[in-house]
Amino acid sequence: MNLITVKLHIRRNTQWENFSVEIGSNAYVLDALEAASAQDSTLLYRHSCHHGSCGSCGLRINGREHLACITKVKDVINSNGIIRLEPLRNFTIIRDLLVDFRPFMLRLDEINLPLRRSAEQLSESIEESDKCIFPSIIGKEGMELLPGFNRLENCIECGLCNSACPITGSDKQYKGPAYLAAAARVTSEPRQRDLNQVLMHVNDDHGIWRCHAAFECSEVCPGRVDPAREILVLRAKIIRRKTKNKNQKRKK
Amino acid sequence: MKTHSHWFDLHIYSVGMIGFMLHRLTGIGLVVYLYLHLYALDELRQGSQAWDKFLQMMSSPLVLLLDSVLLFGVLFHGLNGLRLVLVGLGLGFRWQGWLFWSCLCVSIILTIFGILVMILKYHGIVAGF
Repeated sequence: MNLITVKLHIRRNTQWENFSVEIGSNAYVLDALEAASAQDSTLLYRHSCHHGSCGSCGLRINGREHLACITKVKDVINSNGIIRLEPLRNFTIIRDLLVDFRPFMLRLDEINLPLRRSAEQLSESIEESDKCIFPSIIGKEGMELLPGFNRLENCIECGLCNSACPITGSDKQYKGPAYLAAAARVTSEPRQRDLNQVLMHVNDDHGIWRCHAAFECSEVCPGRVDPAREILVLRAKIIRRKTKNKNQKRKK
Repeated sequence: MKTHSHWFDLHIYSVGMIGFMLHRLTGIGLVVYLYLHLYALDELRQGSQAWDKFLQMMSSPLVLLLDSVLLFGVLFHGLNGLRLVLVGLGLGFRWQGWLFWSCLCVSIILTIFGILVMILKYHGIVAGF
């Protein structure tokens, strides 16, 4: 295995600190970060699964949002052997590269819109299962009958979209791409949820209409969820719904 | 500690973000121009002599250069605004990148045409000034 020397330029609160680490040429940024952590155990960052499924190691690598565990060093290192690491934006920084995810998660919970993957839903109890339609329950034929859903169930709640979104950066009350995309997903497949309640939550100045279509959320999403598309589709749905309601009122 | 706000970011790779930034920058530019324009119109109150002097100043090469920047700002902001209306209503978001480049190209072509007209008029080749 070829070893390379990487200079990590890490933002620690208000200042930058340099670490020089030796890692394999095919290593990932998270490996480099762990090597840096071995040099200074006070360096704080979050990680868990090492394979892009937990979404906890989101960072800004050279100014761009990535998951450190699936980003290869050789893809982001510059000609001087430097990689710049910063915490995610639009989150409160706890320390170093660690940010507070609680408000982000609580916001998702507040309208009962947990972003669950189908594999997680399968493990739920039978009583809970009537709220959801699983591939194993409805079968292959049933799945084929479903419209072409976007893969929002692949959202790993990494927060990269919230960090990349320029509107989340300028409007603190903005609900954010992850939240709005989750709401859009519910409207596509309500599963006995009250659609009016969901639409009420997103149909305001800091909700669906605040998105300025910069498409940054979709660009950085590691799960290819495409939140921007979901938000714009939801807008179109709300407009159609309002027009339909108005037309019905006129007819009466 | 909260990380900084970032509607303007040089670490961009997506067409959508370039469009967002250009739209906002041209928007701010147009607001600044609006105040300058109102200030200029205020010269009318000073009488015809002051107005003629002002017009003479406005036809200097430097102001014409600024006019071409303004022309690009108006064209791009307007055309990109139409793109945002379409995309924002959930229409044609699949082609939003293509629409952005189209807006930019049309704006640049029309700006070049406008600059040519201004140059021709400045040198008296066509009527004007």
